Amino acid sequence: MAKILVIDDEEQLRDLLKQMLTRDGHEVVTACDGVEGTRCFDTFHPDVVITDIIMPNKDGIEVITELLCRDSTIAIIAISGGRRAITAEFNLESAELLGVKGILSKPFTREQLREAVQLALA
Amino acid sequence: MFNKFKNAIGYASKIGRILLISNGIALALIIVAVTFAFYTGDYASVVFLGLSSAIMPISQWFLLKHKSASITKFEQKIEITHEKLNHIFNCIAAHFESPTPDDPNSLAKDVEVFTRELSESLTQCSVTLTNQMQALSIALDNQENERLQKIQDTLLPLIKTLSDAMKSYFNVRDKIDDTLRIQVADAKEMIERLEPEVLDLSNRLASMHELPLFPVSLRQLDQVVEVNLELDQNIYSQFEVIEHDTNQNAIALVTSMESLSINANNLVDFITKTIQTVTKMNTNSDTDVAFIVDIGHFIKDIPEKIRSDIETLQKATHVISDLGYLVDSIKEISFQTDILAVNAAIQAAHAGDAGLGFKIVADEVRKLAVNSNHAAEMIETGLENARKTIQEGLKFKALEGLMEEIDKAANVVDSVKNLEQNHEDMQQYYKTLFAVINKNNQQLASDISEILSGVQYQDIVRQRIERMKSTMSRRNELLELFIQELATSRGLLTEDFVAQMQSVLNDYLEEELHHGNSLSENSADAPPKFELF
Repeated sequence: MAKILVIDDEEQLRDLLKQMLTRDGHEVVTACDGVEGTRCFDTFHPDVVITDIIMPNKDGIEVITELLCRDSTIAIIAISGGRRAITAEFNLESAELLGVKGILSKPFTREQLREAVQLALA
Repeated sequence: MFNKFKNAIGYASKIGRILLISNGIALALIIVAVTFAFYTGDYASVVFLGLSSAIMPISQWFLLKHKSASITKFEQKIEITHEKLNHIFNCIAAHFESPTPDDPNSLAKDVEVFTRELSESLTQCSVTLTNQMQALSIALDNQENERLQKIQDTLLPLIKTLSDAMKSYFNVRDKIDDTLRIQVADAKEMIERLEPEVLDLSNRLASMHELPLFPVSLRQLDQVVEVNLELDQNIYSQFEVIEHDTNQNAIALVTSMESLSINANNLVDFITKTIQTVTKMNTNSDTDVAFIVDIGHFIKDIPEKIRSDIETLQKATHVISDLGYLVDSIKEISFQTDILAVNAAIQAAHAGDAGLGFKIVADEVRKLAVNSNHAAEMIETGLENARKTIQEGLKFKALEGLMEEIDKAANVVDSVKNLEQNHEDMQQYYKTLFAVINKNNQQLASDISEILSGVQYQDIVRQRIERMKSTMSRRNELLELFIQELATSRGLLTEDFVAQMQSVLNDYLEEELHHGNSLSENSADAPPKFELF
């Protein structure tokens, strides 16, 4: 069992992720954007952070950069579906170059999520 | 073999005697008991019979136990004798394997002691054996004597063989003793002969250390050589340090270069891909901008077009209005023609028949006037219709232009919205792009810094080698001076020379200590760390 922080501006997906991860036995906390996400990180001290890339206020790229600056060993999984001209591939490739442990392109299956979390925790 | 044979003898003799005696007693008792019971009819005889039957196995058990203890004791003595024999043979074998024992006399003593013990044991065994044989001879009957004779026939050769073996052993032992004595005597003689020579050599060697060898003594030479050796060892150690550092530095350089290459390639791939996305976004923006520019031009031209159309229509209206004056002229001409025709008809009536023809002309002129008036009215009606049509057309044109303008404006809003989104995307895009490039640039800078440190190490090596070179030069100068002094034999070299040589070594060590040693600061596998200038 691990402590997982989910950051996504889409409420429906956020709740779905929480439900799936809780069912797998993890302790899950959610945040609606990067600002709330970094705040939760300080209080929750998660083992894994799952963050969307395109979000209001503070986007996923900023979250990843800030969290990796604080702790370079933190396991982060980036998720993205892209937006208009900005493709999911670009976002996820950028996140990978920034040093995240895993990437998931929306939409993804429960099995893919489980596998990514296991790899991030390994 | 010997043990088995011995056991056979013991059991055969002892069991025979025991059985004979006990069975005889038991038989006698039984006969007495039966006879007594037959004559007296008393049951006491039966009791006596039972007691006598019980005595027989008890006596057999007692005798067996006694003889068994005697046999065991005899066996133990034989075993001890065997062990001693084995030990003596082992000592002899060890002696031959080690031709130069530390103390040959001790071996001889051991051999002698064990030989004596063996002799005593054998004697004791022989006495015991003889006693047993005599006991057997007395105890057994004639039939058993025959068996005993066989046993004796077997035992006697064995004893003889044993005795021969002992004699041979004593002979060998005597020969060994003689050889050892000769060797010990020779060794003592040699030591006594060499001892004065060794003593003399020792004294001469001791005196040589203090013997002056022209300007320097051997002790000073020793000191000079020792200092030089220490200096060489330090320089060799420094070479080892340089070799280790260079090796680690080369590995670190290769690793950094590989990391740099990978990071640079990743960044180039990433940027190459991003260029395509940027081009796409720019194309979208250009399309939206071009559309807006077109709309702008169109809107800009609309007032001019409307003004032009209005002017044209106004001119047409003026023309039509001008045509109205012509209608009036036609109407006036028609009216005047009609008046003229009426007057002509009156005048024709006055003229009578002569005016009949003129009357016909006057009627035709009047018809012409009526037709002209009618035509003028038709033209007027047509012009009015044309004017009304133009005015209505003006109103329609203006409305139509407005609708188009609204449609265009609606498209412009969409285009502006697209542009705004595109701008937002580009902001997000460039933000991500710069974050990635910044991260990779930091990594590249770190890699380049490590590579520069590695390159910097070459200068450190140069400095170390220069220090070694300088030290070696100083040492060589001193040695040249030393050789010259030895050649001239002026006796100028004193302890000061050793002090100077020691000073060269101390200066070098101090200088190296001042510049630091990467091996002492880092682990054996870590690359050397140096600060950039």
